[in-house]
Amino acid sequence: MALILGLGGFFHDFNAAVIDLADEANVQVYVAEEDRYSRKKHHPIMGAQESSIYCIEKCLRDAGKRAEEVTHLVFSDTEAHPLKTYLSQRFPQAEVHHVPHHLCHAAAAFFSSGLKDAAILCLDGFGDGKSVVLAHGTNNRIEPVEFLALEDSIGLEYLRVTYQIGLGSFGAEGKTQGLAAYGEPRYFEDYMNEIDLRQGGVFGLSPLLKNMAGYLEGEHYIETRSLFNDFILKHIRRRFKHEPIAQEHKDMEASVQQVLNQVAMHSARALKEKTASPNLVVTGGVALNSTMNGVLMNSGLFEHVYAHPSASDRGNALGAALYLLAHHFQVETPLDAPLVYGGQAFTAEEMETALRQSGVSYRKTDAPSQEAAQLVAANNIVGWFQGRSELGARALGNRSILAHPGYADNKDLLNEKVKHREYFRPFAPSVLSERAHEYFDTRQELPYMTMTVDVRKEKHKEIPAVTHEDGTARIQTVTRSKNPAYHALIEAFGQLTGTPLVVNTSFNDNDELIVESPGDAIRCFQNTGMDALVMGNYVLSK
Amino acid sequence: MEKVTCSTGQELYFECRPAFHNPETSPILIQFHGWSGGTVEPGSTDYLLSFPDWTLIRPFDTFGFARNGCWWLGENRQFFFLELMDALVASLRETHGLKGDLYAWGSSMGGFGALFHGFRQKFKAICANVPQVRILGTDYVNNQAERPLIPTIFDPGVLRITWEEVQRKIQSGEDPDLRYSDATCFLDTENPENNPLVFLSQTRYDSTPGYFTQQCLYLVDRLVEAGCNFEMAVQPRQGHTILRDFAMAIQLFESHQDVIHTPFSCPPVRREDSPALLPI
Repeated sequence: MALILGLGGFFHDFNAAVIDLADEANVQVYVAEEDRYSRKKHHPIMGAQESSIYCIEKCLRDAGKRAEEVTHLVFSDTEAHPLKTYLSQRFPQAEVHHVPHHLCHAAAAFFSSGLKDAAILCLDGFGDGKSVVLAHGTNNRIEPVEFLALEDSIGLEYLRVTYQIGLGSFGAEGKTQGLAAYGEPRYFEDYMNEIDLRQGGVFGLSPLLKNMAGYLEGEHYIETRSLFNDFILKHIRRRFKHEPIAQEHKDMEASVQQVLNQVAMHSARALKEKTASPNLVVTGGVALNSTMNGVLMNSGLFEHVYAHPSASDRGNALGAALYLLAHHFQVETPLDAPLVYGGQAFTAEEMETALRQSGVSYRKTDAPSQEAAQLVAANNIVGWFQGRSELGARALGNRSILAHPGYADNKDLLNEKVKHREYFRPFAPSVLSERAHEYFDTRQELPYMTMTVDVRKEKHKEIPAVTHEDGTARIQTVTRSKNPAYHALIEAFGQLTGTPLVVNTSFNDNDELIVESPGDAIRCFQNTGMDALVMGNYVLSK
Repeated sequence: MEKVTCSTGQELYFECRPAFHNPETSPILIQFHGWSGGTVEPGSTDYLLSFPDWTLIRPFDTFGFARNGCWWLGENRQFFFLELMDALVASLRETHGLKGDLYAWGSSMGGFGALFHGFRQKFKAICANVPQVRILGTDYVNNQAERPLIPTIFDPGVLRITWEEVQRKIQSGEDPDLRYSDATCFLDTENPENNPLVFLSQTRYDSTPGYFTQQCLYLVDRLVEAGCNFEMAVQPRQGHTILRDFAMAIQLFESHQDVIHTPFSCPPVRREDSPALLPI
């Protein structure tokens, strides 16, 4: 029977997925992301790199298979790439397939959403010369409705603002989302005058917004050509990282966020009309924007909105493989939920070895959840390392840094001393699923930190460390069944403090990858302002 | 991040990583970045741990169109970078107590900056990678980069001007500012041994047609004409790319210390005696 190897992220975030069809009634899926092993954030691909194969080996090893057993090789993107050529040679026996970039996004999301019918809104930066696909997913098929060209990319426009305001380049868009809450969208109307919202949910950017690729054509080594446009330069002064953030910068951030919300709603309305589906699946790199996702959810346009946690290119290997499974093999998806805890796990022996090698002092505990809860309740900042690492961009309670949500200072403390990042970056709460509605304006299960919701006004003072400037929070609801240890921790914290939620931020320093191994965790603990680390059954304190 | 300010208020930000050993006397490398390279992105900081015997200085040209760089000159005919670079060197000498010899590395726009300020401030050596040498009256500026750049540094009146016209305006005194468009304008032709040793790297086929002759060979001509010593590497490649980074520049500087510290010059070549020289 078939063994499918999916590969994606040929520009950044290289990733692999294996689907084993040996037993059609029990199809197995394995996923791995290269940057977890290379430790290069977003693992950019610059050519045919042999170093970009650890994630493949990891998937095959987990599946108990050898390279020669791969029968189908499926690449994300239809464009040629030297790494594809190289990898095709490594699997000469395999039948090679290519799936368009945005259909990979759509497949990764829809086929792991648990839904049988959904409108699919894929908003992205770029891929295969396109930036957006609107599609309809039903049972085992995805039918594209509309594609949008690369030059009309709303994702790139958002990136351009991020870059011009000196917050960083690719991957830093989340900073823009955080800063938007501090501004007034006073450029919004001007912005919308440059965007043509057309029938069918599509839209076009005016020449003032389109990138400046024409400038400095001779400077081919500069990859930042697409990060400028006349509109932004006309309205604000470009800022460099070392300069103070002015109100005009915050206002531009707020404006582009509102533009994104507006454009997404325009496409979603058209999709609703076209598909009549009660469900919406949101994906593509732009779907990491939890504010936009929250707007879509709260609009009431759809009964259920699912924002995929691996919405960026790091989900495209699985997307390509699932697309092939459905459209080529006519086999139903084996997933009823996304693979969020699909990374590596480490044994107690491996943890103890890392602890001994690092020379730190530590002790054992039989009740790590309770110990961690007590430490957080005593207002310590605690590293929490348990079980398999998370896939995707968010730490969801297995590689997390935790703090008390009741102290407003903790936000600044975490930003300054632990994460070493900008003051305006908000922190998200992990809340017991059964009590989330008491604190947040939602009754939906939101387990992936992909949605921003309103914090109930009467709770603002109780949880200031996770209430953003605009009164919202990007929440993670935690259930006992999905993550029992983390649920027990929050439950114990709730019993100690009366508040059933903790601050949860990814276990890493600024601009670093989320820790993967015990050694990574110990190093990060030592190099940042964390007070304690609970790793498996081991406790480290400073 | 540190900064110096000039009398007209412009600020030059820079990073200074002193040498780990004997910083007072260690050589100082100033790295001139290329267009849009001054964004102070959080990129790799590995270089901070490299070359313990060198002081590494990274200034940021945050002026010009979209603040992507003004060729290390200035804006609107205010060439404030001359004062800023003087202030930067004074800061190194006086505030930081760094008295070592000055070296420069730069690529493309940074190559222009390295040559321009290296000649002017009498650095010991310069490593220029695919540098622009003339930013007016050449195909590079007239066909590729003129739209957003030249009006910001000079004014729209000099757009698409020919090199002959540039020369005429300078020599006639009609527009002496235009001399700054030539990175060799501070080349010491009277005492060639006082000039920095130049290391030049260039692709044979740059992205802009005519770049090889109009930029690279023009610089060679100027150096030959003045009797200056230099090294040149032409790689049989296409494109406008970094052939030598600052680490390779340091290796070159270290392996040529004998020449750098015992400068010699060749007899100047008079243009009329050398048919090989290109018309300028």
